[in-house]
Amino acid sequence: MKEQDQIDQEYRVEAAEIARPGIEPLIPIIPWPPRLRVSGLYAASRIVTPAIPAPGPLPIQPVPVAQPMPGMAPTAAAPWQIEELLPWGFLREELRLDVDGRYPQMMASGTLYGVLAKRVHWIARLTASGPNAWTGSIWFKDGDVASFPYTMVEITTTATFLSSQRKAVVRFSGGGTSVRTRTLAFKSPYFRQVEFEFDCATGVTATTHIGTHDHPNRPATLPGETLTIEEVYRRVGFDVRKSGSDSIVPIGDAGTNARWSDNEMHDAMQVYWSRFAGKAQWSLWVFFARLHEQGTSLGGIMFDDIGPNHRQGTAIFNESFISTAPTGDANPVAWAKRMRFWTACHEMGHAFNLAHSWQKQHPPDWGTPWIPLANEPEARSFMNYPYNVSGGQTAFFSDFAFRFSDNELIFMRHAPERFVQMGNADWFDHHGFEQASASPEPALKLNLRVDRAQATYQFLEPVVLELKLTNIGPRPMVLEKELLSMTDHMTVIVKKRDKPARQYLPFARYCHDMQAQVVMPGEFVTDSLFISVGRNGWDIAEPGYYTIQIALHMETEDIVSEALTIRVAPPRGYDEEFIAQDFFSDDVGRILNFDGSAILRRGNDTLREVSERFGDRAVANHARVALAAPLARDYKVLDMGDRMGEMASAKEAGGRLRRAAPRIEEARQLYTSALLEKKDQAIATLGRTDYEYYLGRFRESLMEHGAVLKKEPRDVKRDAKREKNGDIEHTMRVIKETLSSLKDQEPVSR
Amino acid sequence: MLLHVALQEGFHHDEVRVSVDAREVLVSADLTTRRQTGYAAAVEVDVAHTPVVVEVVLSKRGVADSQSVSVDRPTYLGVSLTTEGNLTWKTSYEPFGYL
Repeated sequence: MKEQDQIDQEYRVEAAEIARPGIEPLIPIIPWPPRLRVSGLYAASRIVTPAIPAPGPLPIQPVPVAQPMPGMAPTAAAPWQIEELLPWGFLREELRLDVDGRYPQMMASGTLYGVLAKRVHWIARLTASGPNAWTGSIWFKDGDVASFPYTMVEITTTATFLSSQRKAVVRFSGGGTSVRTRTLAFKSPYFRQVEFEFDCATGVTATTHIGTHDHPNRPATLPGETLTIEEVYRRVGFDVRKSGSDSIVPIGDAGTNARWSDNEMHDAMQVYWSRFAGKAQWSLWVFFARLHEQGTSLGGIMFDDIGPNHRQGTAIFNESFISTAPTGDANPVAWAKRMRFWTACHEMGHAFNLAHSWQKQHPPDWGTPWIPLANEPEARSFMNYPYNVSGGQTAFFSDFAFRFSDNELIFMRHAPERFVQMGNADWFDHHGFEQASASPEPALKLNLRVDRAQATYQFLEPVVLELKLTNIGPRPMVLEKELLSMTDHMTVIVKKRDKPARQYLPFARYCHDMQAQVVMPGEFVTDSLFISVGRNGWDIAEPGYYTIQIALHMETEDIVSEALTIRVAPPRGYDEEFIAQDFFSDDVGRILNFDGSAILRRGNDTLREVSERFGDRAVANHARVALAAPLARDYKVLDMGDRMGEMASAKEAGGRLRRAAPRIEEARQLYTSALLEKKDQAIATLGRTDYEYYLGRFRESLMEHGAVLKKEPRDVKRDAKREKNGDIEHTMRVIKETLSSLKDQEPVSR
Repeated sequence: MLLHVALQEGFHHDEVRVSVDAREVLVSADLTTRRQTGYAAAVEVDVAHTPVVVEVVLSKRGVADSQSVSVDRPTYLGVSLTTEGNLTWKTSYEPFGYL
């Protein structure tokens, strides 16, 4: 609440300030009626699970909403104001509205964050269409643009002194799809958050503020103030914080010559920067030193183009040319201080991925600009060299308002985060979940486990993870019963060492009837996840190390697991290498994932070969349960005759459901060798959860096909209780007794 | 007298030869501008007479150009390559600074 009051106060001050931009009033001017600033960050989030009244096809496209009748003027309760669901798979949405305050760019940008690691970023140019209303066309899209076809945006804000009641209603249209309207709550007057840390070499002073009137060569309208680096970037739109305590870097770290090379500074950054981490983050290290090894000609440098995460560190050299005022300057001390301050802001701009003003257009082999840009050789910007403009540095500073150019502001405020954020590299490689909205004090903990002492898998062996979600908070939690089996709640990342990360995309989503369960503090729920293969193909196949991490998306936060590293061993010999060409196929992946198929003949042939030739290997357990399942009971097959492949409904094509009779004896043998022989290997490779499930199915098939156990009612009750509690040994004993009793009966093959 | 020749903007894995009055003073087989600073390489030459002819050859690109430069006081010559593949020359009597 205190923070909101402060924001509200800032708004009142800003409202007065924007009445006369750039001019210092002798008597404070309070505009009337007060006009509140509405620019800033707005956000909304929701859980992705749609209401599911009954099982049915999953919506892939956005849900259509009622449209206004032609000619009907929208009213307060107009149909298009019905809030529409986010397009399928989007969890969180942000809007950056940039229409007032410092240097308004009349832009809006937004980001939709998805459950499947997808995101869409859009930018629109706005014009005012009424009080607190703007409209414009979307001119930039990035990311999964196919799921975001809109071309126009209309934004209406609610301006109030109470920041908790501020909101923006955003209406997207165009692109041949239904209108989509969302209401987002005001979050911050800033667009993004960043933190700076200022460290100095021994004996060097950081110049982090200046008096804007200290030097006489300045614009006549420039307000006199003490300007800090933090304030410069706040005016860009960043909520600037300081990280760590500014510290001293011993000069000894620069070697005996006391000049700094880029590598020495990079090493110092790793040691002295309190936020150093090998990942992208909105955090920057600013280092003040005497000289770079290049000498006095280098005033500063964003030195960090070393390693996988660039743009995290920048340096300013106090004894370089930037401290030498031109001969005859009216105030050489103020000139030098301003130049050091300017250089710090300039080098930090490089860390935000800004190029020099004259480098906006460049040869293609330098890289691709985010949008086509024009050079700005005369720009009065932090990113231009003052002495390179017409009239030199005198002309530059006589017209310099301590700001970035409009194009640079648009980039820092509205470009996709990965373009601007320090340390960001190829999206989703090296840093999996920096976008997760994880709580600092989560109430749930997600563990990934495997049923073996060492997470090493044989070649060809599919990987089944055990997920365990524990209530680590002090209060009971109400969770959906099937939460861990609903993969649309999860983002699962699999990264093979030295390869780009891949997103595991399951073959199917399952709709469950929503049933809540109470999980008490310390209690947990578990489930399994077959992760080797999905719609992306085989994510885990080749020998090597893999890191797996899962983000479970809850309504208000993401629960991110610790990363689990597994190893896939090399093939045992030529035979395994040879069969791998058939095994790592889509058919085999689907058969294993769905526990069998009566249709995918080639895949079944491969699994039979695996079962026969590699019977002692773990992969045989998977092959046998997949082969057994369709044989163990009646199996319905859609028979399309010879019309297969033509565009017609199954009914029109004369298709009919055909019943495939079970081959129970074969199924029994496969289940027995998969589950009862080498039980420990079976549990380790199938996972305890799935092992119990397969045992249950085996038992059911025995009962369905003639097995009758003579038991006292008391035993039946006791057995049911033990089975409910997942007593594997008991279930196995029941199965063995059943098999034994069947031997005394007639064969039950049909 | 000092002649400072700085290769600045636009170089990207270029094979570069710089000569002053036909004397090779800088040879680089793989020269690239550091984009953060706009600086690629520099050489300082003590010249005995003025003017001198400075020639820059980018053999892989087939680009060559020369410039007559008066060096009657310490002189700083900046050479850049434009996106169109032309060499531009900038003369200064103050050292260049890079940021």
